[in-house]
Amino acid sequence: MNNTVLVCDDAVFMRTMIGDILTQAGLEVVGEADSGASAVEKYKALKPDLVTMDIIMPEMGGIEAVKAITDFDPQARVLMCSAMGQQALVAEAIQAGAKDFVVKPFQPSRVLEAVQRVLG
Amino acid sequence: MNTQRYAELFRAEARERLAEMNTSLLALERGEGADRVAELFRAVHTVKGMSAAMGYVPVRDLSHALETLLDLLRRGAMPVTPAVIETLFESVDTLESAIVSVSVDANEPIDVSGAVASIEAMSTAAEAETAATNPTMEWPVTRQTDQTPSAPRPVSRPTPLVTSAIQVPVAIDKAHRFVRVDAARLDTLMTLIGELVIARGRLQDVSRKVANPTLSEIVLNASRLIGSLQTEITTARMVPVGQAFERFERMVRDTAQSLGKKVVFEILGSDIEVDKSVLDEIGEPVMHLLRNSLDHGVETPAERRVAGKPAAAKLTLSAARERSSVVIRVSDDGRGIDMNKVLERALAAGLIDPDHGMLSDAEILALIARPGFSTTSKVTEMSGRGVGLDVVATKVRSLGGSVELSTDAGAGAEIRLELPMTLAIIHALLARSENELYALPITHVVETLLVDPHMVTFEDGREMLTVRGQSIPAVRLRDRLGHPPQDRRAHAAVLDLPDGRMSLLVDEFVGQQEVVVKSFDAARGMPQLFNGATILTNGSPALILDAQGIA
Repeated sequence: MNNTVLVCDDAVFMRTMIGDILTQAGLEVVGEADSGASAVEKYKALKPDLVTMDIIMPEMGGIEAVKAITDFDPQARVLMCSAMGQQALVAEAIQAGAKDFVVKPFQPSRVLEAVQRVLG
Repeated sequence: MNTQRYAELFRAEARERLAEMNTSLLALERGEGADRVAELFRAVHTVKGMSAAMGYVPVRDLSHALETLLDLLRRGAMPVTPAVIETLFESVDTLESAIVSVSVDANEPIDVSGAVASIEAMSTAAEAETAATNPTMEWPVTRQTDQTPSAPRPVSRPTPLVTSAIQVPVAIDKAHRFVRVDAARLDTLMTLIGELVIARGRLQDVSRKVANPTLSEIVLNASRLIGSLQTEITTARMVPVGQAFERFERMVRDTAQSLGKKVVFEILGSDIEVDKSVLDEIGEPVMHLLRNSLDHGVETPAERRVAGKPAAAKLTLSAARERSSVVIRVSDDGRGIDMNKVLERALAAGLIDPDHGMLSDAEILALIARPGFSTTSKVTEMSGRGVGLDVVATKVRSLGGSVELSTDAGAGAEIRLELPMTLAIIHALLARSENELYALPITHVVETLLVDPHMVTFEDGREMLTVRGQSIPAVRLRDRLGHPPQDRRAHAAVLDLPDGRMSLLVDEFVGQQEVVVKSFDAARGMPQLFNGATILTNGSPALILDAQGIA
């Protein structure tokens, strides 16, 4: 069975692009969230194998969402997708329980490497 | 590589974010605080991420610089001063034009260095100040799997880094099942439905003649389905007026500022929905009206104080649903329109008789909406709103709508536009004159009747029609179209128009039909009798009568 993914980003553009990369690699995008709050809610509902999480989002940012998701499921596998210039936040996200991160703009190969590592 | 699809997504989303930025900035300027900075930051941040992914370097650089400045504001390391807000407004404008040019041609060289430099200068000054008191701390980043975040690599590719054309993943969640559709595609769909409605009419005609029960049943069924299809497409094309209104906030602010006037601008009913084609058409007229208000209606703060009004004028743009129409109002509490000045001008131009008494609001509107009415005037103090009003009136009427004015000298003015919710398909009465058929939209039709000779009277040389004791001015379609008079009993339609009731006499009304409007540009300056054309169910073309033009 394919691994399932929840894609969280406040930009439709980014969700589409990340979704394309992951779908092409054989993962199944089972849900999208455009805010931290909705990411947490959908994680609980969908229990995906992987979550890609943007950091800057309305209604609860990515970091708080990671905290809430790992509180709910310590085994949750969250991959942070951050824009450049957010080193401090990335470090914070990893302390909060994220497993790895990639920096926008993405190269599909980098994203997939990170995905393999996180799922591995 | 499906660059095109990403480029379209980028364009659509960037436009939304730009609108958000302007809304947040305006709120910030009104003195709303930290939340607005955070919103602004998020919108800029999103654009930065998207433009980096698309390889739109100038957009990325500019949004990066903006983001840095906004981050300082967000952290309170820098106060939000009017100078900062002005820089932000300018940068958002530059960002918008960069996004526009890059979306047209990704390789277009765009120079944003000036804007970036001025933003950076502002950020650096603030950083230097805070660094002195509060040294910044860097988090050590130990787990890196991608490019080093601290040294962003310049993106050299003008295309996204995805190599296949996979369909948009459809989210499982039902609440968010939206698909973005190119507006042009909706237009095409609507045109096709229009043709289908015409074809349905022809099919129904033929089916009635053939009178075959099986055929009738099939036609009935197909007709119902086409009807539902039409409703669905029409609904899908409805968009909230707020989409068009948002950009006015910025325009009003800038115009007021450049005129040295103070205005509190309020938008009401932005969630009222109208057909996209109506919205596309009214943007310009509404902008005209707002400009007119600011230019001529709203006084300077000093003048307002003298008049005993608050320094800041109130300008309101509102939308509301009324029956099957959308009513848009632009109102201000400015100086209003001085009837005496209008009278003077109209007299001088020979438009009214010297013994003409008081002017009604409708008469004032009719006068000031005459092409060139106020521009012919050298009387500078005249609070004329003429400039452009003729353009507005012509546009609104060509859409099958109407314009009304109400004004109180000294206390303000309101212009009310009533528009159909959709333009594409309208109900019309088919009127015959000689051997030609014309479509009369039923929007203004109150009733139709057979004219008895004794109903026709003359008052002051004007032909009138007496309907149940009420005397209504009459217009003969034959006269307007240049057809010779005829002796047979005519049919008449009573029309309810903004400047009163009117009756239109035609040879006969032959039926009612849904007609698909094909827009139609009458030569400027010609008497406007028609505002479109259509194809009737028998396949022949017919012109659509403009009731107000005929009156």
